Amino acid sequence: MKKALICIVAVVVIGCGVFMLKDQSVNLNKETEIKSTEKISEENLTEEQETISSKNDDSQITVGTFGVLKKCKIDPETGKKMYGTILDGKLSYEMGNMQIGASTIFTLNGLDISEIPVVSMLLLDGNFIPFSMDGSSYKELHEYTMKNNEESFVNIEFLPLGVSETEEKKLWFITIPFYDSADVSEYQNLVNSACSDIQSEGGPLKIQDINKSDEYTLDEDLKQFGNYENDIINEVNMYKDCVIQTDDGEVWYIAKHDTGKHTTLLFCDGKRYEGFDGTDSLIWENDKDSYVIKKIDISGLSTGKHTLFSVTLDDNEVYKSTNRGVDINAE
Amino acid sequence: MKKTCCKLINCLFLIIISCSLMFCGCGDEKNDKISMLNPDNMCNSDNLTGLSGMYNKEYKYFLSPSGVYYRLDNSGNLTIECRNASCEHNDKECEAYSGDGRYFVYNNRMYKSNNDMRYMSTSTVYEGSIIDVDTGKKVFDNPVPDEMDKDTAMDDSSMIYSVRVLDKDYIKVEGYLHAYILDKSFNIICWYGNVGKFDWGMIDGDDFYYVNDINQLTKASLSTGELKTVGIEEKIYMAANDDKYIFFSNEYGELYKYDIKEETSTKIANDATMFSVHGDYVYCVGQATKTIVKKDGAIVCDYTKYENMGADEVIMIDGKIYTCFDGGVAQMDADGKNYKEYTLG
Repeated sequence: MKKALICIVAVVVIGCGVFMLKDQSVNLNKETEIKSTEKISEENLTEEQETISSKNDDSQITVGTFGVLKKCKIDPETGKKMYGTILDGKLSYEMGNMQIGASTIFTLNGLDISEIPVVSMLLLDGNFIPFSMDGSSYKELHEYTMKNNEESFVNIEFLPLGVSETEEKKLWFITIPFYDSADVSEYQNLVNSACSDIQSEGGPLKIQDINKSDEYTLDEDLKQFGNYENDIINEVNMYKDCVIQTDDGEVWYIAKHDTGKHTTLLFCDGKRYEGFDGTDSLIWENDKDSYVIKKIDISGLSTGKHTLFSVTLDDNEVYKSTNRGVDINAE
Repeated sequence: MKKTCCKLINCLFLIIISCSLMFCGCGDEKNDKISMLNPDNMCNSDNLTGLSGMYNKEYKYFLSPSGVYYRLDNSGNLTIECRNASCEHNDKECEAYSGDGRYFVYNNRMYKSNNDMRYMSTSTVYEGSIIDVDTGKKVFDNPVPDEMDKDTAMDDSSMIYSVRVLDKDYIKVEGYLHAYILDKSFNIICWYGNVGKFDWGMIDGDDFYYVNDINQLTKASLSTGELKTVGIEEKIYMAANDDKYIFFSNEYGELYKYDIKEETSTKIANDATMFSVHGDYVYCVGQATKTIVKKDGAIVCDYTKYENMGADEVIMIDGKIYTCFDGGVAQMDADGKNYKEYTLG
């Protein structure tokens, strides 16, 4: 009897022990959230992808834009241009004019748009660089039309004025759609940008001193704008940059960006506009909590309606305000 | 009375034994692992850009883009390697789900690379490990090297990005900013910090070749750990190899083969930015086309029309080429003929 009871107890104990071991077995299938392509995408510094996906439940609109720069060489066997990935994220300049390729695409799904008027520009260290596009004449702004959801690949030839031998500078290729239209919806207010660092291996190329404004105000609130305060805050939260005309007819540039140095360019009716103290460029620096505030000089604008917008460059991003229609009244 | 009591106790004893056996799961089918995890006669797929499949005589197993393993039998039936009919196959509860981990066979044992996520007060930390599937034991945890400089080490972690079985004696485990070469017992042979864009690497005698972070072909001595740049003028985008050559593409998508013994490079193709090497052929994809070329550059065929067949990520099993896509597997002969697709049943 005693022996039988001991056997029963032993079996029960062993059975329970095995059950506990089963519960403690290693769970091999643990949940992870790794992006397996993360390391690869970090490598290509020239690839600037800006995807804005907005879904309106009623209209199913999705928009996006993508841009990338490619280096260019002439195939010695065929004499044809070849385009390649900019490894290490840096272009090297040697001498003479240099050529690159630029791929741009705008995707506006759910909008009845087949052709998109655009303006493209090339900037090195925040300065406009005249360039030839697919063999055209050299200009600082190139206006043309792109097809919706169709890649545009262009050859760009330019002299990289301002390139340094001792430090890397930033080369930006920026394309702005609907640049001359005051009536730009949220889904149309895109900016396409692609960039690469650039450094000279054949000596620097000096650029003439370019006049830029560096006078501005920093403030942590926008109470001076009265009833416009909330509208400005909303717009700055959405686009970082804002151009606004108040009731008294004055036109202002207001922005809030991450801490650091910035270059803001001003455009009117699709052209560069010298509304920052006689220049079209404002250089400014902020801390994280302050707005930059700059009154725009509109004395150079003719009476009537005009469209203004701003484009701000920092180290890694390009931002654009929405297009602002302003009324200039005769005095 | 005493005898009757003993009989009753014996019966009770037998009942308890039976219940205990049921409790411990012996004979319970659910305790058996899925077929994919049986290392017997299992081989890793011949993929020079990573471990994305395994095969034996009965089945071929493919890791799909969604992180779930598919199984293809010799009759052409494609299923998900999960026995739970009501499973949605999209999380760790699924037998076939590996997330960002990989199963692989090494020296007749089955292993899995794994990353655990831990939430800290200001960040999320990923901790990598390689687990012996049979024992559940961690055999390697990919630590940040002690010799790494402090600034770099702060940006690094033990997260495992890839595992590559180099040969029967060596395995490579790659993290974010470092990679280890391990022996068959997962002991560290050497490490390097200038990891490149892709996780390719190969062993040639005492040397380990890889492409570093500034696109140079680099040779590491397994005995001394010394690193040396191989004298190739081109900047290397990606690389693959066979027994004699290292094949590489440059920034313009030009494909070269580098003779390891002769230390010379020969251009063999254009428009081959991404590619893989299997058997007698190179499978290339460029700006707009996918082609198969021989190793001397002669074009075998253009297979651009086969949208679900890849190039750099294809694997070769028993002389046929495969690509796994969401919902199916594409197959063709090595020379591009007889293309077909299998879809999940």
